[in-house]
Amino acid sequence: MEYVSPEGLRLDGRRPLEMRQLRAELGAVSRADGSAVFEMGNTKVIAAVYGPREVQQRSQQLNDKALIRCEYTMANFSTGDRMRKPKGDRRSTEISLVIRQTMEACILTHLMPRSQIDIFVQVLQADGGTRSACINAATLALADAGIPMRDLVTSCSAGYLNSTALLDLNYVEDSAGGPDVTVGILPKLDKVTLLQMDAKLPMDIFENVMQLATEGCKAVANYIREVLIENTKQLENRRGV
Amino acid sequence: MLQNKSFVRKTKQGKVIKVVREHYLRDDIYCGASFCQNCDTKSARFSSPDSTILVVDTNVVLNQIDLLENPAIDDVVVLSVVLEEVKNKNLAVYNRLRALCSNTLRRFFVFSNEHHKDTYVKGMVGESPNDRNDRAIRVAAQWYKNHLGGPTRVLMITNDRENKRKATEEGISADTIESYVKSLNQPALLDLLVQPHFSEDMEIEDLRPSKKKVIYTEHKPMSEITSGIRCGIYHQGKLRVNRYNPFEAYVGSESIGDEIIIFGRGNMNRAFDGDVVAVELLPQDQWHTEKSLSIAEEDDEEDDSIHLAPNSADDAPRITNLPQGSSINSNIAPSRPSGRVVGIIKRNWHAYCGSLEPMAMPAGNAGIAHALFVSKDRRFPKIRIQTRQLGNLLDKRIIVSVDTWDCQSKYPSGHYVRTIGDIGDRETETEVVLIENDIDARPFSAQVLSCLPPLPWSVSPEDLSNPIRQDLRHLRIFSVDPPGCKDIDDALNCTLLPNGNFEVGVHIADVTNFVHPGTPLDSEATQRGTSTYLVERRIDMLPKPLTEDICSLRADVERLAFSVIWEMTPEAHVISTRYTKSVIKSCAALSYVEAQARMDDSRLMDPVTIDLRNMNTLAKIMRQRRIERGAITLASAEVKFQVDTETHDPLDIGMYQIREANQMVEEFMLAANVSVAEQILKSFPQCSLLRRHPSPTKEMLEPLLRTAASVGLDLDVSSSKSLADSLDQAVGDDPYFNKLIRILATRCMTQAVYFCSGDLSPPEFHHYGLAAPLYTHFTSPIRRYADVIVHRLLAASLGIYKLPTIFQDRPQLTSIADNLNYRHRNAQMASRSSIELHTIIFFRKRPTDTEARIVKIRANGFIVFVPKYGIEGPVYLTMRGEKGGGEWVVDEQQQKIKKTDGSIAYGVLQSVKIHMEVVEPQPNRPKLQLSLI
Amino acid sequence: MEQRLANTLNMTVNEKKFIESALLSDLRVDGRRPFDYRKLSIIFGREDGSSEIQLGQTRVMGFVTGQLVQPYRDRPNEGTLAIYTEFSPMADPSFESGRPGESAIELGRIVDRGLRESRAVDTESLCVISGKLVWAIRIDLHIIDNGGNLVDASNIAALAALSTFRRSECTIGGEDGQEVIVHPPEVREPLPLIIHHLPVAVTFGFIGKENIVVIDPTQHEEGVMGGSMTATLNTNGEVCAIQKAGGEGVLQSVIMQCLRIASVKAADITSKIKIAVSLFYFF
Repeated sequence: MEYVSPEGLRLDGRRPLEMRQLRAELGAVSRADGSAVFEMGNTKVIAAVYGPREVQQRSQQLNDKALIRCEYTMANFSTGDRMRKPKGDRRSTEISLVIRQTMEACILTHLMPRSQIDIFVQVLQADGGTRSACINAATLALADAGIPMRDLVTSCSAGYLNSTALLDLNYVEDSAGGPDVTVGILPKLDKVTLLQMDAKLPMDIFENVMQLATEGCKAVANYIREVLIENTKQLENRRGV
Repeated sequence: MLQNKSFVRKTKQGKVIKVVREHYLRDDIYCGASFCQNCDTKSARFSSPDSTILVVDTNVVLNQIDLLENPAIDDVVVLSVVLEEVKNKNLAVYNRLRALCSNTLRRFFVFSNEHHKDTYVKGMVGESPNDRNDRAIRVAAQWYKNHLGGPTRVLMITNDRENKRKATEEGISADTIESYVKSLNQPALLDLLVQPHFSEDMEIEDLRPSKKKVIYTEHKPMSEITSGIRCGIYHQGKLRVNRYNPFEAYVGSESIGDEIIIFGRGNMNRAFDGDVVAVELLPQDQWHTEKSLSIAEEDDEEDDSIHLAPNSADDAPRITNLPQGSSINSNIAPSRPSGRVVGIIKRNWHAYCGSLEPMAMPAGNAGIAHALFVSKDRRFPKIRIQTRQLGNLLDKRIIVSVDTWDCQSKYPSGHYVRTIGDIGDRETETEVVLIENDIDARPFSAQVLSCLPPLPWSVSPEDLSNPIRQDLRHLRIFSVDPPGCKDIDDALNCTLLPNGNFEVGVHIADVTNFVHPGTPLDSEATQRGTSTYLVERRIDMLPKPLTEDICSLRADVERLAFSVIWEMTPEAHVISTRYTKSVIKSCAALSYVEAQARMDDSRLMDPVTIDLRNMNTLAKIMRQRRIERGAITLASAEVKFQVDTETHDPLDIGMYQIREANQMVEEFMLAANVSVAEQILKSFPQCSLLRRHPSPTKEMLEPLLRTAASVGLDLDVSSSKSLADSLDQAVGDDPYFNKLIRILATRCMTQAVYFCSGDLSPPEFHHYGLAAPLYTHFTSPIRRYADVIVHRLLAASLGIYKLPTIFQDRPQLTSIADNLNYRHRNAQMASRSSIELHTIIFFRKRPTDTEARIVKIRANGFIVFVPKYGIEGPVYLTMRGEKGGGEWVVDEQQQKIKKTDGSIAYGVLQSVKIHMEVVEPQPNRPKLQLSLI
Repeated sequence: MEQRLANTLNMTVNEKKFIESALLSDLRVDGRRPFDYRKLSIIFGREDGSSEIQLGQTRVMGFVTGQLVQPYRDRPNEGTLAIYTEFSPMADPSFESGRPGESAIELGRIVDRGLRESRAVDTESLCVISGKLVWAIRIDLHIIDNGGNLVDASNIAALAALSTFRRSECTIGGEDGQEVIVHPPEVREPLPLIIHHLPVAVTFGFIGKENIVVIDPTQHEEGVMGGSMTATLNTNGEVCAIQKAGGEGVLQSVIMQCLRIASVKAADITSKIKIAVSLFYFF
């Protein structure tokens, strides 16, 4: 099956170095301290942040920094078939762990000791790249909640099919069995926090693909910044400034 | 700019799911015309603004691909919607179209209309997908017209009347392919036009379930088959596919008497070689008449590879044969009954080894690829497998096993089992040879090894005191074997008696003392049947401790043996024979070369040498007597390899040298076998295991007679003696002539086979080649299971052993004999394949020029035999594929092939000089090629 | 959802500062240099397919068993490979018996990704009858003692156990060619698995603000480190999997350098495994 046609177009009409359409919205869940909906193409993720608030389980309280908790679930209706077990299975647990550790690296936890910050991420539509979308959504939600962060964390995935490096794989391309590299960076500091890869890749090609994914992350970061600036302007308007 | 494509799909499991995909529309897709002002012209194809640009639709591409490939048709826009449809319908045409598009000399441009923002067409409510695609083509043509403007004419080519009508309505010029071609005024092109037809080509393999059609007829249900067999409309038998022509098969049937031929894949109806099938006869007018064999008519389909000179008719390619009208009056050629398979009673599927047909890698490195597996053995059809690791499997020899074959698929489906190794690698090919010939080369299991006596073993006092065993350790016994032989199973002695007669003894290793019936060791040996001798190694029938130590009659150790002792006069007349189990101690283990040297050296006078000379004298007399009775000496084209002990690469090939010492040992072994045969038949007339050699029939000798006649030689084939005499008299001016004729004669013989004495009548026990009324195998129990059985029979006939009950079960015995024949044949084929393999390795680095003899004339060349290396193969005078109708003419009467202007002629048995080298027409598939110098 | 810290070694501030400052002069607490592995010993049990790995103070046991099952519907001609981890409380007081915690699942998934997605084990050859019967290989990893860097040790344990595992041979026979006879090992020699390559996991820890990189962190170093990265590579120069789940950010150049070091270490460990396996068969 050709994933990249000889004319240089992928299955959905993008070129190999193009990302899908991004859309973000802040403040979707009114009850939460901060929330965001993030869409990458047909992948739609909603994130909600509660905190900083009092720790619910005293035994786990940390005296010098905030406790971060994260929960990742997929809605039953998110994929083509109805999912049987939306949370608690191994993949969800691992992704929860990954998101938590990624956000922990960028939140200034030492400013909020003895408190807890909860991040809930749910996938509403899954079409490839859910991990990246979740991290981007979590970043936006944390920003919406006003939690102090070192830098934004943005993430993007890239793959390698038909001897071409492709940016932002969708579900069809992901299930082709080729390698899938997910990268999360702190754009201002230009440091990599998250790096996951599966399937085999020779090392030099891996470097190219990782570079491509990092570029993608920077593009997402630009977009997120614009959205946040836009949002701030609106808040200013409402306050009459 | 983002559209959503959503459609509902049914998965393989039958679930219905809705699929939603994104669809991006772009504004950077260019029209491909270099004269266009607006677009980027980097990948443009159309150069002249005055030409007509054609926009083709799907059916035109599918049906008229040959026309499109003609250079007269150019400046074509292939829309991506058309490309997708063609890909889904016919992959072969799609590949050809892609090749056209990527060819820079042709002006075919692929326009991605589905992703262009102006030409994207969304399906309207109630519109069928076909209509939507047609509309997309029209919109794209319209866009092209508007975009290029000016003098360029955009013409839509479609044969669909509706589409054409709508196009003209919308203002697009449209035409059918026929009228366009006619307008080009090139009558030659009209020939390439394919007339519109609605039947699908049988070759197109469409795997989608809705499109599958039934290729093979359904098998009849089992109940119908059994009742049919009972009343005689269906016949049951085992299917045997012709090794050299896989589309032809035979089913042996007792009810008909003759074999039923099955021609063609369709009639074989998914049966494999070795399956037990039920066959229905076709009506008599469809019975296949035998093709009369004329030299010029032989197909090129025949196996053209170089192989070892066949040693018997069984090894040679089988061609349906009918004697020419020349020497025998021919009636109308009788047609053989033909039939077709209606059901399969018992499947004989097992794992097959071979390799995958070369194909392109699928994307993503781990995508599923559907590959076609070609078995090395031509009798089996190609097998379709699914694999995710195509990269690992191409260019390797792999093993695939079959799962199913349903009526809708042209080939059976199977799955990959394991990889053996790279193609062409010696270890891999050797393993393939073993697997193909069903030779079990696995190490002996723990169960089998536990049946062996504990090592180190030596003759125990119980053995010595056993009354059935005679103590013959005082006799001067020696053995003569090939150099480096460790499994010595026979030893001889020759004592001068006081009355002037000789007492000659043949002592055979007493294997049955250690291999008892019913034990795992015995079952394993029964299965293996024989040891297999490959060039660089030997696959044993019994475990090594037995073959090389415990049973082997090595020098200077006491061993157990089974002895045949004759008292014979100096004129080699046998006065008495006796058989006994014994204990012996061999004093010397000589090689043929050593024995010959000792006999020849007149200075040596030691007792062993004197015994050797006496035996030699006796052997010569016995041999002469045999020849007078009619034994035939055939020349073998056997070849020996000298193998480098470390790398196991062949160092040299040479013909096998037969010395007097070889013949001497052979003579006594034959005598022992004959004596034992007489003894066991006397005691067990119904259940002895004997060996026979059927006389060759007239048809089999036909090629020999024809060849001999062409050189003016008349051979009398009425009996074996007359043939032997004729062969002796066949001497020409050239010294090799006699040997060559003998080699050709060898080819016409059948193989000798084992049989159970109760199955046939005494006249049929005859062994043609040895001119003996009775024969069996007794002298090599270490490497042949038949000899083990004969040992047991002999021991029972002497009253010292109780025959196991299996001997009373005649059908069982027959099946054992059949298995032994099968294993024997396979071991021989494996040996030959191993030799062929090493021949290729040997010649790989050494292209050689050598002399060869023509043995057979063919339509486009001839087949030569290279005496120095013992191989034969074809030499082509005309290129492969062209029939020799042009320059060369075949004269059948004189068995010559002549050039039409009469300048050069090649006759059979003529000597020619040829060049041999190893070429690789396909990567990794080397073959030996012979060419005329 | 509970939060389980893999390391509840409550380390004092002194200990942490000590480790960090020692690393500034390229010294590690146990005397190694930053890119040295601890001593690795591979021992095999009596049965085929069992191994015990000791990497410094960490001990892991691996067991491989096989069973005939029905294949997955969308992979009818492939066998399956499954990895189960057992974090026994004997190894570390923070491990609780019962449901595996987060780190247990993460470990399982890293080893799984390295073995399965990179096609190290040939699953197509595990098929007996396509669509009906295939071999399901199960790898069980038991953590006996947690001395840090469980990922690497578990990976080596899994590889060693797979290399020595033998599955019984089965032949297809019977009336319609659909019956399967499994031969016990005394009758027919069992067959090894076909392993195309050995993906070896190499774990790096990033400690301190200056992002000093150490290989094979011990438990104490794990308590100090800000982030870790596990790279699984084979000797063909291919990267099979990478897992860097958050933690301190590092520069891309540092990552590439780590990969290069990892490939050298991977070759080293692969040869150790191969030597150990061949010695096992020699005896």
